[in-house]
Amino acid sequence: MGKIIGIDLGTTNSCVAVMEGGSPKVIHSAEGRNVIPSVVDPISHVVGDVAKRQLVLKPKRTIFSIKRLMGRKFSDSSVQFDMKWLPYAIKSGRDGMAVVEVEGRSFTPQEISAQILQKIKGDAESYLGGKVTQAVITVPAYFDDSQRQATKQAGEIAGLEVLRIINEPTAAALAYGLDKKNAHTIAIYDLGGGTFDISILELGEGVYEVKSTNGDTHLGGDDFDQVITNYIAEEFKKEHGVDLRKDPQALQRLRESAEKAKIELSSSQEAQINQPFITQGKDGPLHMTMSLTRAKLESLVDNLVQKTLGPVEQALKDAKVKVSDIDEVVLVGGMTRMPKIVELVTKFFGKEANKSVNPDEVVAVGAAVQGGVLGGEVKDVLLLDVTPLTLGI
Amino acid sequence: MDKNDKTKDGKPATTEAQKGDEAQKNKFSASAKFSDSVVAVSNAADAIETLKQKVEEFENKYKRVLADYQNLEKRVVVERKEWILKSNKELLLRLLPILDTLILATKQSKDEGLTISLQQFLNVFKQEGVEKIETIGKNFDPNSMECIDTAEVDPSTGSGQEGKVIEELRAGYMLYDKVLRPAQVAVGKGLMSS
Repeated sequence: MGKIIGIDLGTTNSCVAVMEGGSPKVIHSAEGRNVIPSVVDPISHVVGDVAKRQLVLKPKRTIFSIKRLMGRKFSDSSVQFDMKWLPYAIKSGRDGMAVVEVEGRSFTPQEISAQILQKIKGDAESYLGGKVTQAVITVPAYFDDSQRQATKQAGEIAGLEVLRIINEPTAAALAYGLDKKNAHTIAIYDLGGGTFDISILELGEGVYEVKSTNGDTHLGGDDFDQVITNYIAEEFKKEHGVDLRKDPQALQRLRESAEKAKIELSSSQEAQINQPFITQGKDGPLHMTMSLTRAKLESLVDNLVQKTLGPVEQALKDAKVKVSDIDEVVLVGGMTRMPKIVELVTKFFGKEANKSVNPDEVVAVGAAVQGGVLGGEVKDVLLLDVTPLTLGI
Repeated sequence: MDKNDKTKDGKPATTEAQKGDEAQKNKFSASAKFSDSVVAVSNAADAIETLKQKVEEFENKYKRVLADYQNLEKRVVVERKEWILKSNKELLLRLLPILDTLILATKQSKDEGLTISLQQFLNVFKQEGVEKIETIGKNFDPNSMECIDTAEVDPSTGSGQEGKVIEELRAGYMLYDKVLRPAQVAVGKGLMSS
């Protein structure tokens, strides 16, 4: 009796979970992490953290953000936009679909995603100690039929029978068991590594319906890191007259410091940034020592945080619901650990958001719950998930 | 005969008419019993069916729980071994930045005391199962190294340097057979390949 795994196939990171002993468990990668970077070298079949480590050396054959191309035409305006900043080659393939070209070979987004899924399948098999052949995979609520189909194909290429494709916001709601709480109207606020999504779900008669979805496809944790990195670099420049961003080695340490400070400031009010010998000055080595307060961080990223409100308001409007109609709010994505984000969401909706499940894992957990339902392991959970066709953008 | 029978056991005699009533009654009750038993049989069949389903459901559940339990048992053995070996991992990871700074300092200053301090630090690490990952001149291996910079090498003069580690920017370490932290390196890149 094989297990059905639940997979969150993300733009930046992917995550996998399974029902075990009646409750969902996140499966750690062979590298010992709860998420796998969605990064692939399709030539040498290297995936995840290992692939990410060669990004600087092989920018043209290390593929990331492939989800942005899934099931899209080459002529699609979003593909044309992403082509400008993605370092690898994107071409028009069969039927005008976007494909990536690496060392003269074409790979469809399905084939690239399949390599991520294969890695996930392998990690799950070594954790479970047996073959894994069936999966539930999540997709953004705005994915149209072609994008959903492409995701399903990716699963099949990876040797997985995709029992169901479910919406990411629905999975998040399932992870919290909101179907049992009689919550009628639910808002899912999802701020991930590179994308922001807000979805309004309505639950009725055992069916989750996505009433509306909105967001910003280019707003996420990476933008926050960038702002902090720039601030630290500017401060250092003011003091020492050296721009660390021009030195790739110093920049790497700067970026790591920025991310570390950001994470630290989610739980403490002040973070120390110490990087001795960060670069060479005219009179010998220079050291970076500074402190960053939570208040300063919040003022630095304030406009990024505020940027999420526009789509939220639009989503409510499209769903024809008022703020007061929302029964439950769910936070998804690593960035929602930031106290400022929690505060903004709580203030906007006038109620505490659900945030007890790890926001990096919540979608995979929900997918695992759905897998448990399909495998007969979980009872009393509704089965349907509907996206109105009009939502396909 | 009839009369005798009646008087013998001293019970009131049953008349033919009464008998007929009885028979009629029995007939009715028989048919009632029959339909009852039909209902009962179908109820029993339903009950058996329900029980069968229940048995199957519990059997499935039992198999699942047993499989999960057996997996857990196996995993506990593996994890316990890992725990013993790697219980220090988190602490070691937190100490590595200090080691990094010491290494950077020795690059700046050739002070002998500093070099000895560094050696002392590395010795303790070695005793805990931590080994430095060798990088310089080796082929770049993303399993144990992270490329954060490239240095262009001219294929005509720098032949053999392509794809090899030219500089180690931050040392990487193995903890027993697993990567504790990958090394950060600069790798030679041919002018032609990009």
